[in-house]
Amino acid sequence: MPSTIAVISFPGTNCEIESLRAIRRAGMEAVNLRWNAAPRSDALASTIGGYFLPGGFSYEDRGRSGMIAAHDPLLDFLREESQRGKVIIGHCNGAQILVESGLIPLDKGLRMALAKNKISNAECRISNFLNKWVWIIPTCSKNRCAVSEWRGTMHVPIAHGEGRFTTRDKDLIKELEENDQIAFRYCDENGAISEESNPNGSIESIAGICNPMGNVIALMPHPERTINGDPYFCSLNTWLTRK
Amino acid sequence: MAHQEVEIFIDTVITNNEERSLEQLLKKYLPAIQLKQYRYCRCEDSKEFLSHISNYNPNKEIAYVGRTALDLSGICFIRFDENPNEGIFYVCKNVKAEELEKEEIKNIFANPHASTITRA
Repeated sequence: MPSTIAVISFPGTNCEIESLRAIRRAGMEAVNLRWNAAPRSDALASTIGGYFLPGGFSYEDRGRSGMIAAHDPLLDFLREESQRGKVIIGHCNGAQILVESGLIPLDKGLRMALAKNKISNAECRISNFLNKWVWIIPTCSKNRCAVSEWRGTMHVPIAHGEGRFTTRDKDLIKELEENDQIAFRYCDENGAISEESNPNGSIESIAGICNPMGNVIALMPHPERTINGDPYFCSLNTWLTRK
Repeated sequence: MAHQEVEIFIDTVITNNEERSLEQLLKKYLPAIQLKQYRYCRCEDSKEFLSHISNYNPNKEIAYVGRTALDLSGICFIRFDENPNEGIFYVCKNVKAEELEKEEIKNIFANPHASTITRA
């Protein structure tokens, strides 16, 4: 029986449709649930294999992107679900919610930020908003996380103003590297990682991070918006089937 | 002669939704808190600054130059992101300073990995 992924909509989420399509294309079931109708009990949650927080502008980015949603009681439930091994994936605003909730990177409080983009050339310098196509590459080992069982590069869109992974914790990046948690990095078409291929100034060209168990993933690009992203979602299906 | 820096506080004419949402979230931890927020800038020439529509839109905002016209009775602090001359000015009432010092509360106002908050 295919796994069911709950795509959660907060007020202001706007990437549900393409997320539902991408999950179904990869052979899984997908249901769209509003944040206030999402399951918060074990009985309801038993039907759900994983949770997907899509992109958008939850709560109009009030305060800062993802912060208000990160304090929703639903995130406490998702934290419990992640501890039970359920998969939680956040793309773009969903990633911001997971970082602001502390679930990413270590579930030990607020350890990093998705700060305003640093853009070196003239593109969108006033708003800092980036809307373009980039290349990403998995940089963790193949089975390290729920969506990394594919190799090579992937051409995917990004659309964010606050997508620059950063931290003032000087030991954190080393810890993440040692734990093999830096799941995806920005690169060029050939997979080379450099300052030029880093669109937003993200530290160590990070595009996505997983938690220590590999079942919670925060990714800034949008693989759900293109069939190029299908290997990413097929990898999720493989992970869930194996569990 | 060197100009002196002035502080500019910009309020919204209609309800500031961001301020209301932030206060609602803070009430989860501090039920009595009342919050007021302003966009904050420091510059040498306030007239010049306020003449740019990208800095200040008189159709939907009110600008105060200096602190004298404002009710700042409460605990005040400023959140700076990257620009040290522009930030968000918060006035918190019905709350003790030590309550605002708690990490979970400070993290609502600012992510410590991207911003700095300073008592004002």
